[in-house]
Amino acid sequence: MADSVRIKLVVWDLDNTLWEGVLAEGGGKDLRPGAREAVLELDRRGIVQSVASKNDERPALARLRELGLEEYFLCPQISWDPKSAGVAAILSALNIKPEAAAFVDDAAFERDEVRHVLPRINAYDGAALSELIARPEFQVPFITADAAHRREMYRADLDRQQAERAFEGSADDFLATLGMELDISPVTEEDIKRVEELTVRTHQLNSTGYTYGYDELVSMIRDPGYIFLICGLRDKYGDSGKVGLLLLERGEALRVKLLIVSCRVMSRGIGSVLLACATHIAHRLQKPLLAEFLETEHNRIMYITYKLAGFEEAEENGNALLLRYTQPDPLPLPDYIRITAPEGK
Amino acid sequence: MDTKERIYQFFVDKKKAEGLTYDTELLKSRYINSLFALQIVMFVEKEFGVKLGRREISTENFHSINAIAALVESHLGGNG
Repeated sequence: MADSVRIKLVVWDLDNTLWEGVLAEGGGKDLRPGAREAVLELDRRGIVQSVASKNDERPALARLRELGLEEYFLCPQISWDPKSAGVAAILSALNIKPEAAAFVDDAAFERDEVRHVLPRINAYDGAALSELIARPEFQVPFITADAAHRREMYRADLDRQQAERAFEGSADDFLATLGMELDISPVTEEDIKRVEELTVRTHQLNSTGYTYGYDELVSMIRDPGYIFLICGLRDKYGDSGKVGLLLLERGEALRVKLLIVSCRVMSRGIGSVLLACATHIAHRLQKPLLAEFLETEHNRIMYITYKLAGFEEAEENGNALLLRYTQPDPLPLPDYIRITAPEGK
Repeated sequence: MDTKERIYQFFVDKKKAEGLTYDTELLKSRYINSLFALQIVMFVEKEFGVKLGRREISTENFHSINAIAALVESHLGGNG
């Protein structure tokens, strides 16, 4: 397992994994030792959880409710279908990659079946639950305010997805119904933990993957040579927390060092708003705009965003690209999102 | 359906085809914003079974339906 693996999602089996015995055979009365502690602790760390179990859905959910755990599991998949289908549905609904997910099941057959379909998932037997959650990939460097609300934020996302499926217009028209408000502000010291969290958690919508230590971040905040912005997103379904970062370095040109958007708010146009902000700032400072880009196997979406927004390769060195904004005017800001920013940027 | 019609149909399916022609300048109009840009790239790759290289993802190649169709046909050997 790669050192950088960090679990964002744990999918639990129920029978003989979360609770003792088999529900359909009269078991499931008691949780296994350490199960409640594990679920609560993972929730506290901001690791979201779900269930993939072969059972009848209604009694299984009822039992989880009686045990006081139902609220901790997002979009539980309880049916007699192969578990790989359930796990895949959870990953898709939450937009989490298999390599960032853990599947915990006492049955070797089920682990193999899920791994067969999702080879990059992390599968565990869950024999000792306290040892499981002590593993390095289940650790988070610190608990941020965003982590504490992560479960509610994901739940709001699921509500939003449901509304989108029921909506009969274009995707833009749907976005316009959300009443999105994006608040862009300079990064302060209180934001630093969230900045670190975003830089290590985000792979798909991350232009360079650069990570910075605490001291480096503090010095960049104070250094007038950098413009370092963070954005928070709210809509009618709730507060999504701090979801995006834009780090600009002033020089002869304005240089985008980092553009990151949380995968949780993918497909809501936040990346292009931040990119548009960069073009507006460059325009105001009357500097050309460059963007560093480090291609990885995950961040092609970010590359496409840059290219179709009018950036072109200026330098190319293997996976490391330098892109240049080639359009005469700044990018337009979308009209489906209300933006508040300092100094009317 | 030929290549252009299939691409046009994607805009219809996404409810974005009103007033759209094969020449309409997509990127500077309301037809393609950045979100839709991703979708159209994904659509082209899936619908036509092509894998676009880094250099091919450019404003020129996605300038209009005509331009996208030419890009696709360069992959398919020009037969549409």
